[in-house]
Amino acid sequence: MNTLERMVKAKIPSDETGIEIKRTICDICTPGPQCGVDAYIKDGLVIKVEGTAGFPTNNGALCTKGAANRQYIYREDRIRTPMRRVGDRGDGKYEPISWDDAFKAIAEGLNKTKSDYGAESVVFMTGYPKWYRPWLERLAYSFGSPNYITESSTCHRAEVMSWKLTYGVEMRPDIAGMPDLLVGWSCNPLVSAYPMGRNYYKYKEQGGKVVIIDPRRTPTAVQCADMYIRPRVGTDGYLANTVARLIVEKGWADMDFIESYTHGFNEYKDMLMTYSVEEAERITGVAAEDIEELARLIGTAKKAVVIPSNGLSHHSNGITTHRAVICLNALTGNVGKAGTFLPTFETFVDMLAGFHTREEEFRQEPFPKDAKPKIGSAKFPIWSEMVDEAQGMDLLRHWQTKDPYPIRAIYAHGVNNRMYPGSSLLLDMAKDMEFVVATDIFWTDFCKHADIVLPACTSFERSEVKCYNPGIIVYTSPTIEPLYESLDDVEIITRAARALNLDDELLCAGYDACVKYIYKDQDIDLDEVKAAGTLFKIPVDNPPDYLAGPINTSSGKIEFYSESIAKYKDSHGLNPLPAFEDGYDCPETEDLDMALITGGRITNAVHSRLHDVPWLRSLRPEPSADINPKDAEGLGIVQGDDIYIVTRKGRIKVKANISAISALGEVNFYHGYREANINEIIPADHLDPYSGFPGFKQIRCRVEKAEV
Amino acid sequence: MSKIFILDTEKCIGCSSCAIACMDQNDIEPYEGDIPFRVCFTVEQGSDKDSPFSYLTMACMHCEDAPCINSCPAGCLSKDMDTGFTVFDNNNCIGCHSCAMACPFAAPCFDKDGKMVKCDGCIDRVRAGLEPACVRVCPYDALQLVAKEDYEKEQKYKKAKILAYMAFDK
Repeated sequence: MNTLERMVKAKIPSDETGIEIKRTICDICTPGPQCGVDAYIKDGLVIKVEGTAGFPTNNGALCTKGAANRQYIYREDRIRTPMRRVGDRGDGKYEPISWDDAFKAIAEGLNKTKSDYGAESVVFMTGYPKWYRPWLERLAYSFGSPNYITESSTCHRAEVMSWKLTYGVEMRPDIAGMPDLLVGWSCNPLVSAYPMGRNYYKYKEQGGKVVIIDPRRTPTAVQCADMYIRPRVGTDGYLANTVARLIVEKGWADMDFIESYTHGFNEYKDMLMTYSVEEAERITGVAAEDIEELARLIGTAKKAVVIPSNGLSHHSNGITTHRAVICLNALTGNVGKAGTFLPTFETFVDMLAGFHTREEEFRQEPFPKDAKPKIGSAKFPIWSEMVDEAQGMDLLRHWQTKDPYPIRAIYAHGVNNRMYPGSSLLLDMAKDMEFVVATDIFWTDFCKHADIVLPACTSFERSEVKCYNPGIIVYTSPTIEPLYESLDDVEIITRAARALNLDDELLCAGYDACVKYIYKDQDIDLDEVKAAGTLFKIPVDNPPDYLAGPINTSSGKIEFYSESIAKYKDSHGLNPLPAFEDGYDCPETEDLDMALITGGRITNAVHSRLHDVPWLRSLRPEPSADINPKDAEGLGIVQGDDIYIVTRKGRIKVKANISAISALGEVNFYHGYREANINEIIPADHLDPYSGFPGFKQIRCRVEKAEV
Repeated sequence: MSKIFILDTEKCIGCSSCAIACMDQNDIEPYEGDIPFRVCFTVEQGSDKDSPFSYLTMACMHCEDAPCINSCPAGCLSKDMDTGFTVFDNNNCIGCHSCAMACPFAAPCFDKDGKMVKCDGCIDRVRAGLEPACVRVCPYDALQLVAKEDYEKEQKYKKAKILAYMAFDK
């Protein structure tokens, strides 16, 4: 090879090699940690990716998933053209049609359902990604339906609810402010959100002390924890309340703070006194001296942050557990000061960027005033009041019972039935609909149940405005042409709005006009930002003085005793105090003597969307369940054996991965696999009565060696 | 200046981003018969919450006295004087696997034509002033390429610090 050939092979960008770098954003995971990407382009194709140096989240690095963007965007099963169903729902027989014909069919189908059954009988649903969500929400409302449902019905919203119920606002730990102690309660940022993981490492390098509490022995527990506590799954609430009792008893509670800023301390304290270390040891499996040490560390630190994670809320006792954990911060006065918990708010599409936009107005403006109650309102009233979305976990019940009205059509972007417990029920529902539209990047099982299927493109093939903290904004341009006939999701929503003849001038005007409206109050020229293709700076709002108030709860104080929950104490049997409740789906039996934990992050997957990317799949080729070596020995299972995970809803066949990642008696398994869909065997009614969230992380099960 | 790859095992989480970046850089397709140049491992022992557990990433170690070089009857392997990387030209490779037998780290791989391929330290990227793909991607800066001289100096300093602390303790 001559030098030029070597440079081409090594993908060195230059005029001679014809390789050019264009910038975009990785859109594989959730918006918060999304990274800047340098796409290496030759002849209109992406030939390599790299993290963008100097980008706020990643500064040149990428995670395992992001590094595989090239194979992700060129996945074989990309939807290529708009399609119309010609066979039965589910059999995958489709014919290509033009975009015009597709939108004509959509307008006819949705408008007919509206006139036959009412606008609310059309559900607007979305899974990943999230960048187009404000547009989809607005489309639903302009159409006249209150039923906008996202995958946040099972993801992060319950955590936000818990913060708002207790503190009136979502709070974030100020790790850069160097608290003396960081307790990561079921936090695994080294795997789930590596920019946050880097903050943990930085904090440790500067002398910070880390405690990790997690039933799984995660990389964060291994590499970051000065003390690692492993409670039995779902018993965190008991542990937190026992720690709280010790803090109160030892006189470590910040009584001045409690007096001035909290509500319901006496009721909380009375409740705490029913918790004991002996009982905590029995329930949680954590040694008494570790519980006492944890209480001492939190109670005596000058500043400590007890950081919860989404995982705590993915239980049927999720909200109460999450509240029990975050109450420790108010109990010790670690709120509202540098190096403790500070209030935060969402700027645009889930991003916390330190300034306000008109996103909420944009989403909510056309909300149909006389609409019937959104899905989940009766069953999950707290969710309904606090979240601008219907609760998707009540969708299947609603459809089956037609209570209080029928659901007859679905308009979906990125929806995957495997996100739902009892997943195949969602496909059954799709089969029963009068009309289903599905937009996606790839052919999913859900798409194969739609009447019209539309091809969306990836972040590499479109533009997007994206903001980061503090006050950083970028407006990307496509790095390559959209593949096949795909369009970006917002363009699809815009054209659908026009085809539906909606009285919504702004939505019909398209993405660029909408973001200009949303960013109207910022002194920034978005055309200029887009043309430059680089990061721009926007002034951030002065951080509010949280303790100066008013605190946005019913009592105007931080609520140990939640008045918002108290309203539903009798009607829904909810507890205003963060008391520990059992989180299993059924009592333990001889048959079901182990605990199943699902959804805990692994490095090569995000939900189902990366299981079909060959590079990533090659890292863990078979769906594998982590089983403790002692359990494996007892069951006569060795590494790589075929095993069944059995719950009361059925069984799936997977491979055994023998590892102390799992505690004795617990099994960990990742979700989203087509050939081993764990959510299929999670009971659809195993839900948190406060948030509606599924108890993904605490199911009775057993493990059996599969006969060959 | 001679360079060496170092891995901070206290930061590595075995996430395999380095392995994926290597596949992207070198167009490696594991499902089409290619063997990845770089692989990550989790190594553990025992069943308790605090039993030994560690993460590793491995590719060619670019040994100073690389046994693969002498074992190759066709003279395909050599040392790059500038970087110290163990590089190859597999035109004359006869596919005898002698290099693989000699390598204590199982670094040499063989392509679909049976010819030896392996990590070349992204030498053409390094010559162009870029980092190796695996180093550039690492989310935790656990994997690094450093000048050998700097590394040795750093090690001496670390040892000196330990000695000094021991003296302070007394």
